[in-house]
Amino acid sequence: MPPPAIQMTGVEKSFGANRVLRGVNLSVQRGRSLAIIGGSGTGKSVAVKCIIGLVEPDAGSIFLDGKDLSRTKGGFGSANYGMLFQGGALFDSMPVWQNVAFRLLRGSRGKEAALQIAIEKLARVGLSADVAHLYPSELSGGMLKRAGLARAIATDPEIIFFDEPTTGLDPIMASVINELIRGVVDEMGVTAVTITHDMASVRTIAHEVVMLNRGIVEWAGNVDDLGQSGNSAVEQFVNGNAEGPLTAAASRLPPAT
Amino acid sequence: MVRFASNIFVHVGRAFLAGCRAVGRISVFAAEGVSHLARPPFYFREFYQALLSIGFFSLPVVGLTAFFTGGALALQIYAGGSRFSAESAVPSIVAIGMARELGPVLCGLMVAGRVASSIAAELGTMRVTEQIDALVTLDTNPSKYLVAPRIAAATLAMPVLAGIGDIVGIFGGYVVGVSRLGFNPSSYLQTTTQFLETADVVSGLVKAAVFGFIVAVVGCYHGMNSERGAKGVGRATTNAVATSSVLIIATNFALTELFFAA
Repeated sequence: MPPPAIQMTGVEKSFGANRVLRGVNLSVQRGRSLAIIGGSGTGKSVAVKCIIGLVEPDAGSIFLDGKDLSRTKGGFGSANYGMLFQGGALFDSMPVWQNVAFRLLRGSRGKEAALQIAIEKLARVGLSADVAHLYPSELSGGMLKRAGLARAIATDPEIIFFDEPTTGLDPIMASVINELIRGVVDEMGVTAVTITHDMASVRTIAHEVVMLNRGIVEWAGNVDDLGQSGNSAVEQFVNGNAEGPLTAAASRLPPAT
Repeated sequence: MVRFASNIFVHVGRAFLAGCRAVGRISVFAAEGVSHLARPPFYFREFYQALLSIGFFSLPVVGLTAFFTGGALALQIYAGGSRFSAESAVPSIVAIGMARELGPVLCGLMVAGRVASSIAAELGTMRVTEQIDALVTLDTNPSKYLVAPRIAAATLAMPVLAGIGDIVGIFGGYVVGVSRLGFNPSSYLQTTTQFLETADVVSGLVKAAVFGFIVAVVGCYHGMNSERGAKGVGRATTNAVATSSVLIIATNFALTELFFAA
């Protein structure tokens, strides 16, 4: 069996006295889609930022295709990956097509070729060519997510990260974005890691699920097993119950982030 | 009493150490930004945009400030000089004062107010909306892409702005001198150039370049390290203007001491 595309072992991270990750172990095989779920402040975003290299872990190891990233030149930057940020994170100072083609414009491709690819990627996420020349401030929330997704897939990456892809969207647009992500992931055969607390997203996008709770992995398994996890914290989270172990723990302890 | 005194020492010591840490952090930040100027890739589009924003769009505010300051300077020197029959010194003192001191310092403070705040707000907003994180995921070094072009643009644009400020300020003094103080136009111009030396102008332009560097580094530093939310960006903007203004005044003293101390 090949090594996982991404693997975290014993990853810890603190900000001052606040221990956000307390020894996280998780992995995802190439071509599979993993959802990291958990309440706000449980360390989901910090875990992904550790993988990408935006945050340096205090302890533990992260592997890309079995290679320890701390010993790999360029770290995770050596991988061909894309990321869809929660708010899109498009650059305000440039039109949509330049956002989508940002990496291409810095490569050997000419401006015309980059524009053509940007329009193709925008079409793939359901945006017309007219949108290419608009600025991010002229787009709606759903269009920003689509444009962000177009940027994430612009270089045909092997790994894509999705950070809260449906946050801030109405249920219909959230469903559209979920289907779009699933279509893109299936079509491209990429490895996907999604941070979310939207269970509809999880069921649409993910093959596997990891639930973080207060900086450690509370439960990991197949998405189809979520309903029969046998874990009361997972059941509370999945069903959205106000009462349960997560609420009790949250009322006893200070927040993780 | 002893406890009160020891508390004062504790607070002073903490403030001193915090100041040292801040100086260290800004120095490392500036060194990293400068180091990117010598290593490809170079982002010419970002440099050009920064040059336009920092240089060209600062011209009106710098020009107006210099014009009125030159005029006020002429009035003040005339009023003061008349006490010991030195009214004729107005043109040369206006020229020397503008070139050596007021041109670069006023230009620096105006640009600090306009540009340091703008850079801090822009980069701070980029920080809180994850645009800077997005740069990293797009294989682009944020310091190279955002900081280095602004440092280069501000350092190059400021001497030009200060030079224009010198000329406009001297012209402001000329307008007031000729129209309000009764100077002969041709003799005013002759006296202006008679005592103005190359060193006066060059020292002012060097000062301006240093001030431009300070404005860009401080603006970028506070923007890149902005805290979350509107409050965080607002604080970054305020800190950028306050820090760069104080640093400009302090550096001006140090450079004046360096250039002109006997």
